[in-house]
Amino acid sequence: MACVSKVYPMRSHTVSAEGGAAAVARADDNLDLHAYDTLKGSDFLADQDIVETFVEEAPRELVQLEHWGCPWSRDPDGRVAVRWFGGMSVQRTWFASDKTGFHMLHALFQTSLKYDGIVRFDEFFVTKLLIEDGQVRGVTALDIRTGEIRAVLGRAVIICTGGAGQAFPFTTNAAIKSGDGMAIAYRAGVRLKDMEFVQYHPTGLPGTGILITEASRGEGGYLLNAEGERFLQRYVPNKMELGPRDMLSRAIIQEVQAGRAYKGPYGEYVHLDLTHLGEKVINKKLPFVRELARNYVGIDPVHEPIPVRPVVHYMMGGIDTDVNAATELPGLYAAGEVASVSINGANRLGSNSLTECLVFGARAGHSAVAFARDSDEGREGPLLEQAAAEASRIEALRGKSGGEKISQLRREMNLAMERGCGVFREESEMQATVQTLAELRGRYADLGLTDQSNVFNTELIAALELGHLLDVAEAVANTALARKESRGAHTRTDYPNRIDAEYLKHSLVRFAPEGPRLDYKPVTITRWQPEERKY
Amino acid sequence: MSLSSRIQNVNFDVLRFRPEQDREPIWQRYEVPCKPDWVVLDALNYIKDEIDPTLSHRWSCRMGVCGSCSMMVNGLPKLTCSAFVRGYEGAIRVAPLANFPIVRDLVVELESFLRKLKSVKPWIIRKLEKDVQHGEYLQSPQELETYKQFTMCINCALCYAACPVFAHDTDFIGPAAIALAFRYNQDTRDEGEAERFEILNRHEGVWSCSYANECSEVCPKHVDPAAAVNRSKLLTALQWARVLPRRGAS
Amino acid sequence: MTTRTAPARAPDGWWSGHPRYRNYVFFAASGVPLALACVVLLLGVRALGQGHAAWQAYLAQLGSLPGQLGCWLLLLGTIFFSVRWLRVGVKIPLVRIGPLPAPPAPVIWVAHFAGLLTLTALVLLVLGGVIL
Repeated sequence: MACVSKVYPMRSHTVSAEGGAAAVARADDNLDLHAYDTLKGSDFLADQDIVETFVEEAPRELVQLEHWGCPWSRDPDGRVAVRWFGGMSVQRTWFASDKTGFHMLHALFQTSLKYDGIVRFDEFFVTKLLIEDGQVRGVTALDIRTGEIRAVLGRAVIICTGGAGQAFPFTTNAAIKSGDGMAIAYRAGVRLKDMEFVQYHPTGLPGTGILITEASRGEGGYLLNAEGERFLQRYVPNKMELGPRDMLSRAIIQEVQAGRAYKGPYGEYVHLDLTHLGEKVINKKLPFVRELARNYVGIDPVHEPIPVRPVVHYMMGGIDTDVNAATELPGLYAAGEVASVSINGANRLGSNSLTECLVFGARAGHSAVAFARDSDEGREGPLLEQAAAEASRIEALRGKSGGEKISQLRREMNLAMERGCGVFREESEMQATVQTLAELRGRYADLGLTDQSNVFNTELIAALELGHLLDVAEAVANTALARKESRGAHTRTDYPNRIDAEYLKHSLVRFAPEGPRLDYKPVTITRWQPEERKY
Repeated sequence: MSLSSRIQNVNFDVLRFRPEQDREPIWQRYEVPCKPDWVVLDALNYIKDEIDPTLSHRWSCRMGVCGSCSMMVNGLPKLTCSAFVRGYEGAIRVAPLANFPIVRDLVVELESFLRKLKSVKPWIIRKLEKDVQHGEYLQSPQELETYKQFTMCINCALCYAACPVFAHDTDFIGPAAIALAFRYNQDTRDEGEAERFEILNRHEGVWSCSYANECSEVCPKHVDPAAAVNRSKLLTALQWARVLPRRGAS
Repeated sequence: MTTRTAPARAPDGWWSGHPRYRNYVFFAASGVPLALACVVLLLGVRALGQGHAAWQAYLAQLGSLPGQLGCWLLLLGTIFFSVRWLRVGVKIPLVRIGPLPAPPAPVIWVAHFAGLLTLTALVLLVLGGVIL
């Protein structure tokens, strides 16, 4: 088994996840409730049969990780502790202090070191899928160290490259979240699903976009506007700070629009107040939050409220997969944020994503192994020819002359996405964004690169990543324009209501040289009929 | 927030190395217009975006949790995403992480570091595993506290750059690797102490440590690897003398 | 596949540059006065064993001007070493040994200092001629 990653495994962005991973664990909880919470959170766009599978397998996966050494926080009786999280009716979020993703990733990575059968290709940047006879047979990858393009051949490929927050100017996402897997699948003709749904996390630090975990609200934090009011009582009166992320982000933007927010050098913001929790609770349950606030905004949350604003955090959309993590392309699987299974529908509940990685990661693994067993390796000749062609394409990019700068195109893409695909969207803005992105794609062909070297050429990587981001951005903007309703994280000022009759369906988008081709497919409904979504 | 948007020009002296053209590393100066809340990483990204796209460096999360951006800033090992420009006077010298071979510019060779992490068997070792169906292993909050601090290591390798022993003897498995071994040895779910004993009880294991404590001084996550290494010395010695049983030995 | 690397570099201004690195070098070097102090004490033990005259001669040597100077240097070196070592040393016993829980930090701190002060007092009293 080959694990190919453009960074060392412990740098993957899972490491930044803070809040927790949800699974039914306690007597006061049941699978149906977790499923219902997830469905309601998704604004009923999630596929119900898949959600049922997800909630059923979730507890087992979290226990498996515990067996593998994950240092979950504990209750006095020695059992794994759970806490409140946004949109969850009961406490079911497992957590490892406020660095859950970090601990999960390290536990998984360290356990993987046990198995010599896992061969790692660290700092290899995958650029293309190798397809032969209608089946995926491997990938081409740029060895960042040497600059060589290598073909990594295999009987099945699982993509878990995460989302594409870097398409936006303010994001919790790391530099590496450039939508590589989504773009590579998209270019190979694979469908992307529900791309218009981009989650804005309500509490990111202004400027850097650094994530302040939802757990700070789970532990009792308040959101206050410039008048010192807990303004969420006017938006989600029952759940207040534990409402779903899309509603909270909208609420904050509406407070900003109403002039009830603070103004700062990085735009307007509201306050996340943890002062009433006390130093002991903060040190015990939210030590990382305290560290981040002190380091990056110079505020001690024990004494002062933290400035926060909505920032791009997660993509509900991604590569279209089924319950077995399989895509429409034989041999190709996807799991995690890169995929849209879909369990998150139009809006994801916090702490479902880490669990999603485990459940569908495991399913992808099982499916890929079963497929590989029944498959053969294909013919090496044509595959290596494809790889050679890809190598030429990459070589042509290295140090090429041109009039456009990577940073300039990236900035313009970011601005266009912020304007057209923000928390509140509107027809003319979205059209302008679609237009801008099409122009940027044209200008991308005229990129000028300076670094001619082969060894660790990060300019080349940045150019490839920009290309991937433009692909993903195009998918997002076009599907957003086409969905003439508001649902979950996709809110339109010109179509403010949810229109189930017309839009209770998944959007699909396929790459085409003349422009993305859109389609739709129905949502699977089993036991829960869509209802009005109020918290 | 009391941050003004006054921009200040700061000189950055960066150690460059392009193996295809440079015989050896050379210093290069860049003048960067820095915002008051910038970190050194912001300046490096500005250099790459606007001044010199040939500068290579590693970075990812910008929030001090991924461990990618370790470099030397004015001679001290730092995470550049947490090194604030306002904390420095005059020109700032940025060099690749000390004590590791330089691959390119600010990127160092970390394979040896990863091999050392693997060598201490950083996974739960048990004779009998519980079935997942039967739920989690019980562990009290007190038991978790004994090793929790040592789980915080982000594998940034700053401690290796700070360790004077490692500077002279790269066979030393080093603070992070020993802290990781200690983390598992102290985890009540683990029974692998006997297996790790062989790795720790060597010259290249715990016994190279000379109490410099520099590793703990530079650790950005307050793991205190010096405590882990020296406590491991105590436990290893007691195990060697058979005063303590080697947990997991048959 | 690997590429040509430049050799690992020690931190800038190693030895002389940073106050902390300088401190470490002194710490390592102060092992010498510490060792010499032990030798001096061992010579004292031998003198005790050789009888009253030898002991008096030993004390006289220590009391002479060069002797006193030497003692002060050894004392300063030893104190420096001890304080530096204590910083790491007190962390060591704070560990769960087998089924026994880690001893509380204040207990360890007090024990370390109490031990240090007691032994120092003992040595001074012996050398000062108050005891023996």
